[in-house]
Amino acid sequence: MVQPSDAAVGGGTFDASNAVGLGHELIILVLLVASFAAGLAFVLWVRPNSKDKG
Amino acid sequence: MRDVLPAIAVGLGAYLWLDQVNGGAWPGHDQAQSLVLVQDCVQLSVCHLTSVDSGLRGFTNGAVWLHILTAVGLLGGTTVAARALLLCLMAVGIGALFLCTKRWLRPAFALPAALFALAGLTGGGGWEPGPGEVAAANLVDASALFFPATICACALLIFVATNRTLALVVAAVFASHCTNTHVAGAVLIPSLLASAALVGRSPIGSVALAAIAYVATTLITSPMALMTSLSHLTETDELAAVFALAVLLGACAIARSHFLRLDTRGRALILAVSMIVPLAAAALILQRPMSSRYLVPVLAPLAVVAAGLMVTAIDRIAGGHRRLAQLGQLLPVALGVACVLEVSEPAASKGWTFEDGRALAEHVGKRGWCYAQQFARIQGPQCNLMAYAVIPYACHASPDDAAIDRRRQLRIWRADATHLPPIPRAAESIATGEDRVIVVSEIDSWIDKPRAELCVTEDITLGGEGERRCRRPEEPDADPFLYSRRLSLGFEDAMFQPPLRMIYSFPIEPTVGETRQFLFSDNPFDHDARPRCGWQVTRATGLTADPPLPANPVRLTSANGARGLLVIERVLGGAECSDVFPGWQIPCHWETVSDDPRWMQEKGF
Repeated sequence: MVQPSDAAVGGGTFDASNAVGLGHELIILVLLVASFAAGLAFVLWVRPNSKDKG
Repeated sequence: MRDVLPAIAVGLGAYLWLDQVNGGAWPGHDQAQSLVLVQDCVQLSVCHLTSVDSGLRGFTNGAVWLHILTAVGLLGGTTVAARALLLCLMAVGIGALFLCTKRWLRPAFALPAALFALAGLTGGGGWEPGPGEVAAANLVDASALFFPATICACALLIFVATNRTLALVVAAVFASHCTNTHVAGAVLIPSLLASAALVGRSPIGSVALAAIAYVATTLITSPMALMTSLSHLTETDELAAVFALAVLLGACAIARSHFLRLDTRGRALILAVSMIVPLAAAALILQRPMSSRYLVPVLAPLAVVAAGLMVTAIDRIAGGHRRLAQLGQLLPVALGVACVLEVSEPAASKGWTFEDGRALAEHVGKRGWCYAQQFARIQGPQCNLMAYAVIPYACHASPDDAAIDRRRQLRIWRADATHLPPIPRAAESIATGEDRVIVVSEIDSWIDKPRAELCVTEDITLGGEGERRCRRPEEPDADPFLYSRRLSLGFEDAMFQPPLRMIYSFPIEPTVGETRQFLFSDNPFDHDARPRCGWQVTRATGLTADPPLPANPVRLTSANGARGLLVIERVLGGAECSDVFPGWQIPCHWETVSDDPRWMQEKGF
């Protein structure tokens, strides 16, 4: 019997019952963009001081 | 903030270079998958919280990449904007890598490390080299991985150097973003936990804090992916995961006092190794080659380690000669520039792009060709890549729309605008904004491809008779409508393990007394003939074939116009066809009539 291919992992179909609406998505987007900006700002802002291991 | 200016300059330079070497965003299965999922959200308010298939069985990719594309879509952006956003994320990542390395390790490491990382983003590399694998023109999740991975690595570096709790939280948040952008980002989790255990004032408290920040972030961006992946882990490898975690934390408890005695560079080296080793271990345990997509999470530490080792070796060789050491430090920079310059051709600039697909979908949509009408009725070279470029944009027909005769099909190909060969009468050309045009030519086809039947059998003898499993394509754009349902291009779950023989049967309705030439494409993505492995027309009922069957291409003549069947077959796998990709899409074909320009009949595609 012909077997399904290993390349078909996941099958490529999506369950819409697990999806959320656009309003929920907008909240996620705001938090995601804010975290991206905060992370970048942290890396730019923090610098070594004399107490840090050199 | 004086040291930020050089980092901005490096980031800007990286952007300009990446823009230079990246062509337009090209289509493919994974690329189209993200876009149709985002169209579900932007157009239909069905926003998915799991992303495209993971390359690791049982693990589900998170939705961070979809969220990024959704943001672009909601702001009215197209794939041009998505590509530009990827370029920005990559360039900012390069700038951040430069700044972190310069500030926290050594200025001489910074530029070569940034150049090595840029080289990694410019081409393929890794175990499976391939131009454009992680390019910004490749709209896949892994292409968005470099920025969060680099911020995670920088935050971890700051944490192991300073023991600032906020740095650990930032690292945990970005480790979550990495894992939920592409499953390869999970290789950063062990280094996150190890860093917390090695450096935190209270190792258990720091590990718990990192875990809480990670899980909380994942619950916001990708809760479904977390649940399904955890469910898989507890079903299959629960003991192994707990054992690995216990070994990791135990080793950290033993090594903690030694680690804390190291200076920042020593700690950074251990940190980099802790990021790279899980990836190598995963490749060994899974016993599978990993594409360069899987290297992106560790690209920054790899680049810094390479730069650091080279600069340190040059210092040792130079001894106490300061001027010699300074001159020697130009060597890693020169090597970095050479690596970057090695890729100078725009990746995949000659194929279909999503912008081509958008222009095409708009053009044919105005003439009533929505997706349901286009399905399996487009002829031309790379017709399946063309379909992937079109499916995010093709209109969804309403039942009231005028039907298009089932026999009508579209022959579509791209051509050089400055050397456009003769095209059939009534054909149209669509300008794409570059020096190319898309030519669209309607034809009354003999074969009814949407009513094809696909059969597969283990008997790989061409023309042989074995037990067959057969299916017909799904109805395109059936209710409930979702853009993401278009992705199967008609045959959902129809990929099979070679060796096998694929057989398509098409109803055929020829014109009395006419002769037509049919050419079937051997590769679902290209016209690439492979002797003995490609499609062969094996049966054409009621038609005269020239040359005699099996053949491809073949000229078929109908004496009486009787309806019948056209059957094509190909072998996948076995001794002679082992490298053939088992595509499941209906094969591309090219049908020409005697009125067509000579080149169309001679060259086929």
